[in-house]
Formats: sequence, structure tokens, C-alpha cells
Amino acid sequence: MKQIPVNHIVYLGPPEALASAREVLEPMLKVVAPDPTREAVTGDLDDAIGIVDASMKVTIDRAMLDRAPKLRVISTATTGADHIDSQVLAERKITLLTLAGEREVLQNLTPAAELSWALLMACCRKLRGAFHHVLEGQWSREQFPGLMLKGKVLGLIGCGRIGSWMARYARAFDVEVIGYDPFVARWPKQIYKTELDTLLSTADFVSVHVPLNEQTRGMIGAREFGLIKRGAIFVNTSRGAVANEQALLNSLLDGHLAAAGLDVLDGEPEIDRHPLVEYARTHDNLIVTPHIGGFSFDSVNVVVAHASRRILDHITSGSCSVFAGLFPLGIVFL
Amino acid sequence: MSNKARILISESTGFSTNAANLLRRKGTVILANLDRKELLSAIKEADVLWVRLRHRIDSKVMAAAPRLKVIVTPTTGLNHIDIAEAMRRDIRVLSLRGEVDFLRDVRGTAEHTLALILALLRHLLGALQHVQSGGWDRNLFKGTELYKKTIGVVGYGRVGRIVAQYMKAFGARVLISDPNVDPKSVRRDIALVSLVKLLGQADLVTLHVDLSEETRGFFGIDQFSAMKRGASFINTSRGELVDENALLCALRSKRLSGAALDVLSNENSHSLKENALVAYARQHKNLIITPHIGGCTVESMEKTEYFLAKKLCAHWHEMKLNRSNRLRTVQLAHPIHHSSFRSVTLRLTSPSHSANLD
Repeated sequence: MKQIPVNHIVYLGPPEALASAREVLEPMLKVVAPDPTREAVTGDLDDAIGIVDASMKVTIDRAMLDRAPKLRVISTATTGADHIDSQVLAERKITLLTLAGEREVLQNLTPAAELSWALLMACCRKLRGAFHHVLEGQWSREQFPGLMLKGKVLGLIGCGRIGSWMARYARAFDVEVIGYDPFVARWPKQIYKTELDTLLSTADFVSVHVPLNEQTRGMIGAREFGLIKRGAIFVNTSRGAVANEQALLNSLLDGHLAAAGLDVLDGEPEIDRHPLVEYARTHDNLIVTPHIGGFSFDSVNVVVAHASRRILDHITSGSCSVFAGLFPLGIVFL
Repeated sequence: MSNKARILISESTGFSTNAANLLRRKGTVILANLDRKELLSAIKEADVLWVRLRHRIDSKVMAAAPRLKVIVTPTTGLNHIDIAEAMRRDIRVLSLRGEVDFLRDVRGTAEHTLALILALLRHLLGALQHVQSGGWDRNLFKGTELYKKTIGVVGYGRVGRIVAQYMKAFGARVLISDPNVDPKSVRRDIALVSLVKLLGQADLVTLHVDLSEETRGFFGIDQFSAMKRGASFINTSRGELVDENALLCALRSKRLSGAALDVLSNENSHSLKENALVAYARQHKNLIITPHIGGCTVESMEKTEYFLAKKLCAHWHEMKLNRSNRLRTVQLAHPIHHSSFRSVTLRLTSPSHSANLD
């Protein structure tokens, strides 16, 4: 099918996912992918009718929008759009499409849940110590007696989208699931509802899946770590500040927690002197990863393809005045 | 010397107290941690030898054990024991092979398989080392997911079935290949295909195959070449199933994006340090290796040891373990026709792809 020769879509995002945007858009529209720097992007805006925005690196402000006179629509591959000047969009009636409320696509984003499960299992099986042991040429399996998941109890703090996936994995592993979440709208039926204190004192594994806000900041403090069962495993892939990190460290130091797996730290990315990183340097029972939870090839491709499809739908549905005459009703795009 | 039979437990770190107490009612229990030389000496007086995976129980060990009547191994795989020699010497081997009901509750290896897979796909080893060195750059560790991926499970026995079930929970598409499986026993959402087809389609291939003469080295150059470019390879069964040179080539040529192993062909020998895969893993983060800890969980070891202790006690008389009524020496070269334990040893030659505990 013929491409629109002049007007194009500007793609802002990781180069690896460009193919996903092209696959959706290029049968119809030209896609231009400048380097994600302000200068490069600005140069390509003259003829842009839409922007697929998956970078989070480039602020789309008034000055930039002024350089894009033909712009009709921005589609972001994120739920938030703080980096875009919403007032200019309103003035010029530019449509903003975000992932907020796109339940179907969000529901199918699993990398954060998969990483949480990976950290839990890595703690149970002492993977960190076992890897290094073999690299040193050793092979003493007795040094790494693991914990079997089957028959244990997983406590989920936060029972939204990611918590629900965790519960699904847990059931396949014959792990019982209890959960605490005073805010969730639809309670997932595979999770047994408890109060926080009951959860902490019952669960063999505690995993945190809440957003950071004023109610959740420091919600797992010294008292809460004290309630956790001795020998339990603690996993946090949400935000570091949800836990009181000093209390977490103390709980590891005095052997109350058997192990912990963290993908987040308060103060990241400046973590070199973080007390938990200092502890991790000398103790195999703490695993820290650099906030890689939501970050996978697959998920970036999924959200970019989705954002691209929405731009295409928007333009071709006729709601975009520039194209109203070009694409009369009835043309089907394959 | 006491009339009581001597039960030598040659690797006893963390040995189940309950199992040891049960055994003490029948005989003298010796909890030890022996190297091979010590084993060869200590076994002289033993009626029962209880092993794990450290030693190869070959003709030399058995020749040094004139009283030995039973070898107990908490495994379903028996490649660490010379079974033909044991039969020749009228030594019975007590294992978990065929203990279907008991094994249903033992999940160690299946769980460890998932732990390794997720660790590999999310670059866990590299990521944690990066943080320990003070770094926090997520762009270095973009992972892949299980969701919507095609997972190839080779061998649909006990462990393979559980792994396939886990994969379904992660939203993966599951292909299985097993020449001995009844298509009717396969879940409807799992596809039974030929090995070649599985290798050509799977993003990740995981082996759950018993080691036998037919399967030794069966996964070689041809199989790695048939795999999708960029796929991952997992082995938690036995190292000897795989041509390790071919695996190394597949990693070097980037046909495989990564591999995770809990087993190596020479894992119990002193030459482990020279194993080319271990050497590769020191230089490359896309190969991760653990020291055969799949079946090694606190719960499953305790359960297994207690189960085998009960089994041993239940068959105590049948195995002529009371020293008072057994003063003869071991008969050699005598074809044997055991009753209840025959099935235990003979199953070794079955080509079944049912899986092993350890």
C-alpha cells in the first residue's frame, strides 16, 4: 500500500523496538527515528503528524511542540506523561494517548512479576553462592541445601496486576497465597485476604508490589520486619522506600531473614555506598539487581507496538482532520 | 564384634535425624564424610552403604566390601553405581526409581530448573555482580520473558511434566518431545511433537531425560544445530546426556544465547577445574552452572532419607541383613533372581524418558 510521502510519524524510543513501530505503521505511514536528543528530534518535527513516544528521555515542551505545526497526536508507551506539556496539547487540540487505563495491554506485561519470582527462587536455592562456588572449581552440593517452594506460604503485599501474576505462579508451584491490599478494586480470587500483621507472621515468603506514595512510604518498618517469620525470604521489586531499609538490613544482620532479593533501593541510582549494597558485597543471602524488573525486550516491544497501533487507529479512524479526506470510510488496512 | 549390621553413610552432612534414629533400631549407624580412599577402607565392615552423588560405586569399591549386601541411593538416576557389578555380587540397590507415589511430592529438581531458567533469562548473575561493584545501569541487563515464549521440554517424565505445568502458569507455549509418552496422557494445552520440530521452534530447550545407553550423549552437534538461533539450553538431568563440546561450540558460535546447567559430565572428578564449560563460564555471563543442587532441598532430602530408611527396615530380613543368620561370604558370579528388588535394578535398561530426582 502507498505510503503518505510527506507527513510522517516520529519515533522516540529504544532502537531495538523501532522495528515493532515500523511493522505497525509503515504499511501506511513513514516512520522517522531521530537520535533521542533534543536537537535531532527537533529537526524532524516539521512534517510530523504524530509522535510515538517510548523514550522518557526527551521532554516534549512548548518550544519543541512549536516546531511541529502539523502534529495531531502523541501516543506514549508509558502510563504517565509528566514529560509532555499538556497545556499546549489542549490549546492546539493535539490528542494524547497513554497506556493509563489500557488494562488489556498492561495485564499482559509480566516482566516485573517474572523477576520477582526469579529473585524468590534465587534466594530459595542459594543461586548466588552456588554460581560462584562452581566458578571457583568446587562442586560440594551439601553447601547449598535449598528451600522447596511446594507447601510454603507466599504473602503478597499489594494484590494488583503484578501480585495477581505472582499468585498464578504460586498456584502452579503448590504454594499457598495470602495477600494484603486495602486499595485494590477487584480482589483476585486466588489470593486469600489477610491483615498485614497476619500476613507477616504467617508467610514463608513476603513479596512487595505496591506503588510508592504517602501511605506506603516506609510501611514495612522495624515493627513489621520483627513480625516476619524467622527464616523467611523478603522480595521487593516495587520501590526501595516502601521498606525501611535500615530495618531490613538489621533483619538480615541478626539472621532473622534467611535471605532477601531486591530490585530497588532508596536513592538509586547512586547506590555505591548504600548500606544494603555494602552488605551484599560480603553476604550471599542478599541479591540486588539494578531495577531491571519491568525491563525486557518483550515488554518494550509490546508497548511500542501498542502505542503505534493506537496512533494508526486514531489517524485512520478519521478523527484526525489532516487525514479525514485522504482515508474515506471503508478503507481497510492489512 | 557386635552382631548388629553396620550401616555406613558415606556422605552425611545434614542427614535426617529421623532416618538415622530409625536405622539405629536395626543396626549400627556410622555417619561419615569420606573421600574415596577413606571409603575404600571404611567399607570393609559395612553391610549397608548409603551414598549420595560424590562417589562412583564401582567394582573396586564393591571388591573392598566383602560384607556389603545393600547400597542405598536417594536418587532415581543410578549412573553413579555399577549396577551389573552389584548384581554379580548379589548386592541390592535401593533407590527411588519407580517410587511414583513418593516422588509426586518431591519437586526439588523441577523447581530448580525454573530458578535457573529465570536467572538465565534475566541475567541475574551479571546484574547482581554489577550492583556489588557499585553500578546501577539497567540497560546492560535487558531480559527476556517466559510469557508467550515457546518452551521445549525434552522428556515428559516426572520432572518434565511438572516443569511443563510451571511454564503454562507463566503463559508460555509448551512443546514436549518423548518417544515413550502416551499422547493421551498429555495435557490438551501442550503439544507433543518430534524432537526435530521441538528444537526448530523452541526459544528455550530443557532436558528431563534419564541417562541410559540410548540417551548417553544423545544431545550433540546435530541437535544444537537444529535449535533456533538465539535459543537457550537448560540441563538439570545428567551431564552425560550432552556432548559438552557441541554445547560449547553452540555457545561460542552464538547459536545459543545462553545456557544453564546443574550437571556436568565429569562433575565428581578432580578434573572439574579443567572442564571447558567451567572455564567458559568464568569468562562469559551467559553460561551459569550450579553444583548439582536440583534435588538438594532441605525438605526433599529429609523426606527422601526417611522414606528410604523405612524401606530398608521393611525389607531388612529379606536382604539377610541380620548378621547372626548370615555368616557366609558373598557369592560371586552367581546369577540372581531377586524378588522385590529386581525391578529396582532392572529398570535401568528401560529406555523410558522418565526423569531423575537428582
